[in-house]
Amino acid sequence: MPQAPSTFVDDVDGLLQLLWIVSGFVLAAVVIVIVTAMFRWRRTSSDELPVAEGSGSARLQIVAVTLFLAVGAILFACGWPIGLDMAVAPANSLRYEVTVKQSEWRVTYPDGSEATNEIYVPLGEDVRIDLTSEDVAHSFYVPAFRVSQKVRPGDTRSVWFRATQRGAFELHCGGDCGVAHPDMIGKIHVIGPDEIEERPWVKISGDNAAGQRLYMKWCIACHTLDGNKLVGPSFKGLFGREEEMKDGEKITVDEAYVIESIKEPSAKIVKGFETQPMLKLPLDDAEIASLVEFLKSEELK
Amino acid sequence: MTSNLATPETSAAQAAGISSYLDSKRGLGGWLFTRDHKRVGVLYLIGISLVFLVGGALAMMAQMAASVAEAADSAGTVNAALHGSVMIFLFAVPAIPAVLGNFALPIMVGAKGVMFPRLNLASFYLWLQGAILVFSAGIVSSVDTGGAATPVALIGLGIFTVGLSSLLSGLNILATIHCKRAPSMSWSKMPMFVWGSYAGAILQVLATPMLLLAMALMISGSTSWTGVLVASQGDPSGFTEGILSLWYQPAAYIMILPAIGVVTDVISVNARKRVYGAPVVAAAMLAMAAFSLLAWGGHLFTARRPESVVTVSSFLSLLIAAPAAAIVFSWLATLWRGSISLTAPMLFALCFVVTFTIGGLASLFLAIPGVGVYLKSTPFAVAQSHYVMMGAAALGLLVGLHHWWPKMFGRTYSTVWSKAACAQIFAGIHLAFIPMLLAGSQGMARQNATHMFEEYGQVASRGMVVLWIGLAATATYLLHSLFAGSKASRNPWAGVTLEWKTSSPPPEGNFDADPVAPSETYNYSDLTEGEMVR
Repeated sequence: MPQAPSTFVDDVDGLLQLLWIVSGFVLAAVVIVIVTAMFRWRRTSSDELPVAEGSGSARLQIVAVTLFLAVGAILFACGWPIGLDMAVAPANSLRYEVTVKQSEWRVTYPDGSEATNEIYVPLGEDVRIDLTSEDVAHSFYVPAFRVSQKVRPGDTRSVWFRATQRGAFELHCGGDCGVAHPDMIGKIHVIGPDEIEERPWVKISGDNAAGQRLYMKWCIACHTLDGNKLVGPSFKGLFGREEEMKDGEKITVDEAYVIESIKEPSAKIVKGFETQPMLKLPLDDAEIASLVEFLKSEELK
Repeated sequence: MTSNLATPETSAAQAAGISSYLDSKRGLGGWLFTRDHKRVGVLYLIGISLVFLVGGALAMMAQMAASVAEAADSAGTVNAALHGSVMIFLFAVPAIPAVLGNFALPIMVGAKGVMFPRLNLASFYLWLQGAILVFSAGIVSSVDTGGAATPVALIGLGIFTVGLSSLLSGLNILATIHCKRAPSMSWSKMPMFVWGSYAGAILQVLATPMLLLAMALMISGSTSWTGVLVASQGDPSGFTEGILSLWYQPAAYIMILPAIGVVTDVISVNARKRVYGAPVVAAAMLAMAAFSLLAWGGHLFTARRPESVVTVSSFLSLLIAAPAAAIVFSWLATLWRGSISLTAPMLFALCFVVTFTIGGLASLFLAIPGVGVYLKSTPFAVAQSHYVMMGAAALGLLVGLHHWWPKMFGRTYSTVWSKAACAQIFAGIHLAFIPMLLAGSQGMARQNATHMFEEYGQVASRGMVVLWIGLAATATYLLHSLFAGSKASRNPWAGVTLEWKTSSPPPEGNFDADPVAPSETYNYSDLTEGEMVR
């Protein structure tokens, strides 16, 4: 049997099943009495009066109602832990922010990167989504996961889940939110935890795709592409730039230098970036070559 | 025992010249300025039927849009929203108290009229005014392509006015029951329709001010229309939403309780058996009214509220199931070994029992933690609210209309057509809404067809067509009876409540002679041979 898409599925489905069964019994009882009345107890002559003419035992009524309430209470008790579990995200969940507006789900990943409508989550990890709405009330509804959370502008609500099955699952808006409501369909992609680091939500295309992916996986944490200094120097305008090393040596960045920096990071350290050493990366020559191609590319000049 | 009964002969006397309320003051003025609650009831009936037509058309348009994945578009969503407003505020909430309450209630308690006849007429005109305002808002917003902004002031004022009408009606019902009952009609002898109307009227008076307040906030610009029903643009605290929910939950019971009342009485008459556990049923209706005033938290869909409130609201929703179960039990027990006559009102009443049960069970799903919140984003919730509203308001109205039509208009309608229409309407309701229950629990989102659920949507659309055919047939044979139906006798269903002791239709003052309530409300052994013709 295929594994359920999220940890909630079995519980919710089980409870739903129970509710259908109980409801089926009650409805069947009602229909049976009505059908019996329509056929077996049909009036036979116009002056007929019913034989059984009790005015009604209050006790019987109370017993029947108490029984019904007891069943209801049991169902409530079954649902209570499930509801509680769904309401409070585990403490160390991954935090995603989703800002909703008509026909758009804008997600901000834990590392700050953003995407629209395509949400990537790691398999088997607790993911908490903090929702805000920019315009009207929406509802973050992922049927496959059995989660649903309404959010109103001016308020932040959370919903969490742990995806247990790889694949793409539909995200709908579950609240009538206006004219674009039927178009508000997003996708939750459940991928392996290691695949997440490659940031598949960032559209990578063109000749240097492989290099760009490697950059995203290995370098982005410390080196920006826009000129800002982080832990390490920015890669913007890297090739051909003159850098001063911590020992005063001045070099011009070329391919050899970059390759050396990847294979032996401590060999040359740029002045001003002495404190945090760069780790040696487990990249083979082919990967280094594509990374170099990317760093040489037009966009970074 | 009752010496001043109008007998079948009296109908002949009417034909000879003693006028009914229909003949008393001829001309338009006699209707437009009437102080006769029976005429007011007829005015409401005409208005509400027209409103139902419009609201239903909007529903068809919305469903067509929602059922075809590629065609799902903005117009469908706007029509759905308008349909909701028109149906809830203009049809469902007023229908039974205004139509059946106005016609049958005073007569059932042996009164010659309502307590405040002019206020009663004013309530009708307020309703009419509100309906015109709401329709204007709808027209304006649909002309404004894309339904960008529903004119807030118009729709707010319209609903405010209709709310005022409801409040004043409720007041009239309470006052009439308290002060205008015949001396022999004690509280313990009141039939279930009266008790149901009483419970509903308490809610009309207590809960409607919340609706008025919410509308006033909306008109004053504090929040938008979508703000009130769905989100709150200028109201992050959820204050307005909270206020509206204080009305919204009781509003369902304003619809349901009088409907329950009439169904209980109709089942009793057509089983020729006293209502099983009548005091429990009356108490249950009052309990439901009380619970509904407390269960407002159930409708706070988006406001932040502490877990304790969530728990209490869910639990209260569950508790309401107790009196509902008592009532269903009473219906079944009344049917049990009764002397069943399958008249048209009885068939409609039996449909009501099934529909009400399904609606109640669906409500149970929504009240259970873990499952309830998940289902609220789906058409399951839409279907549940329709089972309750269509089931209660619409079916309940049909039960009452079929039961009291001969009394109201002195004409009988076609037995064959009415029973066929009943079967049609029953099939239509369930074909339309069972797919929604199923689709919702299987993962469909509200107002949003995907290819997976297209078949469900198509069955639902067909169900609506079937329903419409049934309703159109009902309107046709009922109208036809006014012109070509045979004259009704005083007591065509062999009932024992007071309205069957006066002529069909009744005179303007309801009774020819002072009515005397029988010693027991539902004593069918009191029936004379002439009355027991079915």
